[in-house]
Amino acid sequence: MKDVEFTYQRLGKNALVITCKTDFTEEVLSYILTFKEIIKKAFNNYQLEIIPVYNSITILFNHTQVTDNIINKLQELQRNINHKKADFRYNLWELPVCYDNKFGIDLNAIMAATKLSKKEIINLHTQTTYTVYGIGFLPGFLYLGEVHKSLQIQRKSKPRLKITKGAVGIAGKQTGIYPQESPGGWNIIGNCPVPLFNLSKKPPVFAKVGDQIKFKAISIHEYELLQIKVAANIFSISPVQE
Amino acid sequence: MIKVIHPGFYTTIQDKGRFNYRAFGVPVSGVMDEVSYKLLNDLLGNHDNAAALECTMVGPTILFLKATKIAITGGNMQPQLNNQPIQNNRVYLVDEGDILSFKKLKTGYRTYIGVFGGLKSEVYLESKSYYYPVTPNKTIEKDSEIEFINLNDTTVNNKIEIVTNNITELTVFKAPEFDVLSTEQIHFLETNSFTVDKNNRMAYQFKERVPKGLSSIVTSATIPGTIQLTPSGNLIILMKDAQTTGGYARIFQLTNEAIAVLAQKKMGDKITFKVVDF
Repeated sequence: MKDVEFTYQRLGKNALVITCKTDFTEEVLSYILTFKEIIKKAFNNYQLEIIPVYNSITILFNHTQVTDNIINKLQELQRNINHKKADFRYNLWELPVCYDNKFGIDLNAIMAATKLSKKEIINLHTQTTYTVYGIGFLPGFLYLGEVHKSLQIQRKSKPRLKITKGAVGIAGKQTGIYPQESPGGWNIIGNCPVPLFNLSKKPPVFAKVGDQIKFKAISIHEYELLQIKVAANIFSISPVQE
Repeated sequence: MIKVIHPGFYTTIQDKGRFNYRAFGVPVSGVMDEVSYKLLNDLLGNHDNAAALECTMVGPTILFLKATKIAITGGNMQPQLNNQPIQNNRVYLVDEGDILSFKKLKTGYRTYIGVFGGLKSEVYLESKSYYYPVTPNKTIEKDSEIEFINLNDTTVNNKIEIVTNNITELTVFKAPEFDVLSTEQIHFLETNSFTVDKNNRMAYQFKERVPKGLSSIVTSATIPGTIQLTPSGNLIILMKDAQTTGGYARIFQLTNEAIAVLAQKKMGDKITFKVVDF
């Protein structure tokens, strides 16, 4: 990472976008997340939000204009990053997904297109550990990568007007869960009963950028039990302990 | 409290917005026209984050069940109190039983109704601004009731100077992907006017296409006022309910004042861009 360059660009008067000149990789993400922790500490007197996603990190200042001084300070902090030592902690989450045809409405189409059996599709989807590359698009929507090569299906040319809350989908290299009902063009293979965005929890999103996600296949019966727990607000998710 | 007799076309409760949850994908939301909102709260002597009603195109009909002071700012929807015309940008005392209604939209597009002390509404993630599913409501509903505090000061201060004008030029800064634009595209953007097409609290779209467009970028952060250019040449100006991340090239960033100007534009209105330095 030593020779990788970043661009510093303003987005209006109160925001700064710092982008890696190369494409996104886990190493770039790790570097960005280390930088994020450093920025938080150095600017802890400021009201700001930091949005790391893929290969960029954006700082949004609530009340402060981004001056040349601020940019210089950030560049100096970046120069001093010990890039060999990633300084952020991540969690591994196991998310239950029911791949029954009731939920996996595009499974048949995917089987026809890839010539894979349903079992193979589920195996390929659950055997990969995905990295959370960013959070955005909708409250609680996690950008997850990367899907196994054999399962990389392009998004539908005609998006659906309504995708069910919890729907698990694939679009190219990405997989993800719709945290709420929404229009969308992803190929839907299952449903996850765990709320990705939950107003009654603090913070409302349990996953962080940099976390790892694995999916675990569950039966309809298990799905329904979890649904009841979630509805009664007695369900909570914990990271997988190493 | 007020009772909603008729909700109007798209009326929501808004304050300044929610600022600490954008990293979770929660948009800022909040009032689209911050200039009119500030004037509203200044006229009423309210806190600068007092919640107001934001009305779009067709205003609501509201019954006051308690006396208070009100003011209306933003677009001119020909407000009426008990069927008598009243004016924007003035404070009025209203009594129990008074009815506020609106006629046809004359100028602008969004109108703000404020009461003394602001509207009381449930706070979700540190803001009262409506945004489903963070708030259970998308818009105000017919027959619903909204509370406000008791009037303890009946003085009416109408001494604030109002300057109205019809601005069509949007001041913008260059955004991160500006340098990818060709000279021809920059010239096109700087010399043409653009006609407002579909629009809502998430984004404004325009009828004209910028020749050749721009390639998509690796998904990065976006904020209200960010102007995207898609591969097919569409211009999209993101507004208060827009997604916090996006994969389209970001060519311009509106100033905060320009966002307020755009919030008063409706389908068919024309705007131009003026690029300024930081």
